[in-house]
Amino acid sequence: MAKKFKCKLCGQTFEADAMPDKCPICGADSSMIEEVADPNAAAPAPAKKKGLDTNSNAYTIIYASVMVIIVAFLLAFVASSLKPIQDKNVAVDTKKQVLASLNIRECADIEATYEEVLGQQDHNAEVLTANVNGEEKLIVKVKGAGLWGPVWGWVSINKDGQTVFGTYFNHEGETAGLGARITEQWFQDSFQGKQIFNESGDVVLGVYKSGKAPNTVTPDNYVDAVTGATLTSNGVNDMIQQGLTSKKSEIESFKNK
Amino acid sequence: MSLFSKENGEVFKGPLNLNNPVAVQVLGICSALAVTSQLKPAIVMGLSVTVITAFANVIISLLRKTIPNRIRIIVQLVVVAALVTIVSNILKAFVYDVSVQLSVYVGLIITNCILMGRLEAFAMQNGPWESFLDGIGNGLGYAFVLVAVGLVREILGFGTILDFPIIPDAAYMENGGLYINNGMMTMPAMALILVACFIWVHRAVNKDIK
Repeated sequence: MAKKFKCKLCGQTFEADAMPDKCPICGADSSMIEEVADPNAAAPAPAKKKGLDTNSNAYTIIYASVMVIIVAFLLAFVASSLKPIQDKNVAVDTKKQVLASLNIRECADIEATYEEVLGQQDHNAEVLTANVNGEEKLIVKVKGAGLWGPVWGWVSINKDGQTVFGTYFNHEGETAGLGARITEQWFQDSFQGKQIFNESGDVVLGVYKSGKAPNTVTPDNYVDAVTGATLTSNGVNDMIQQGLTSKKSEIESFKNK
Repeated sequence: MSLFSKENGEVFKGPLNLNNPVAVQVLGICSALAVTSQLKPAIVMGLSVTVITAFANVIISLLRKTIPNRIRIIVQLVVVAALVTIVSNILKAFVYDVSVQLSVYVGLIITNCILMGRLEAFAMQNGPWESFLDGIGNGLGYAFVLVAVGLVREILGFGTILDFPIIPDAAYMENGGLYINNGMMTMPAMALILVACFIWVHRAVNKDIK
């Protein structure tokens, strides 16, 4: 097969079977002649490589786009198909929290107990009425801000509209072992029997560091804050006072019913 | 190469003992501290990481020749994040109380260094079956340490195993006994000390680990 050669002196290319002694065009000697690769033989290789070039910009962008679309559809499918079960779990958990504010913490069937005590009331309502062992209770939902994120809870009130029956608090991201202790039973139980209003009818139920309570409140009005969690405790304090103040008229009408 | 050849056996067994991701490589410590105060979340976390590492390894291994080199870490992250979201949704649907307890740590599996390490170091170079074994091995190696730490912390911190009381009620201080649960064990700091003790024992037994 004929190979291609190029003369460096005159720049012409020519075909020959082997390296010639002289350039057939200008007569330069063989040291000036070099073999050039056959362009037809070399062409298929880069073309083939192009199909698998995983480093090209177009490939990278298309790959990323396709991947994102597939993943997005997959996640949307999983999330929507599991949503009904998850919503049911959240509902049961919320009912459990409402029941805990009525000091019902251990019960086998939460749904059944909830229906027995609170009937068909929506567990997300701001104000609920309950019937615990024949006694009527009012439950007020309270929401506020802790140190790192939202805190929320329920305060249940006796028929006199003044005494706390029970509380439940929860949080999203308070510090474990410090602020997160507001979810513990000893803290929530310490509210039991506390008085909500002072003589002039203002909400004075609160959470204070021991010895740091203002003179305007009596020990009947507040509980000790969680040690080392001042900011979360302040959040709980504000949450209770704002939440109960905004529901003052409901508490009043419950009392007079 | 057969499915259960000696090399594959090594791939699987290595991370369980001599190449344990927690005890030897000291990876994934953050979640090991956070979820081990009781046994149940530790088991669930261990299984979740095992499943996610195995499947992420397989997927990345299948895709390894097509992944553009410049965005390979992003592709790995997308695969892991998708798997983690699916697992998190399944946990929320079927074991809600555990998912509340694990809270952010399921999401943080995405950034667990064990996963990214295995994907980058193993799955990008090996076939799907080896990668699957490697993922299962590393996941179980991680789960084993979690369960061991969780067991000790639950027994000493709460006096229970999987919420089943093992210390008789009469032995407790409030009932006239002498025993009291060690509250320190429920704190994350004790998990660090226990993991360190675990590494100490492990290295004392296996003297060839440098």
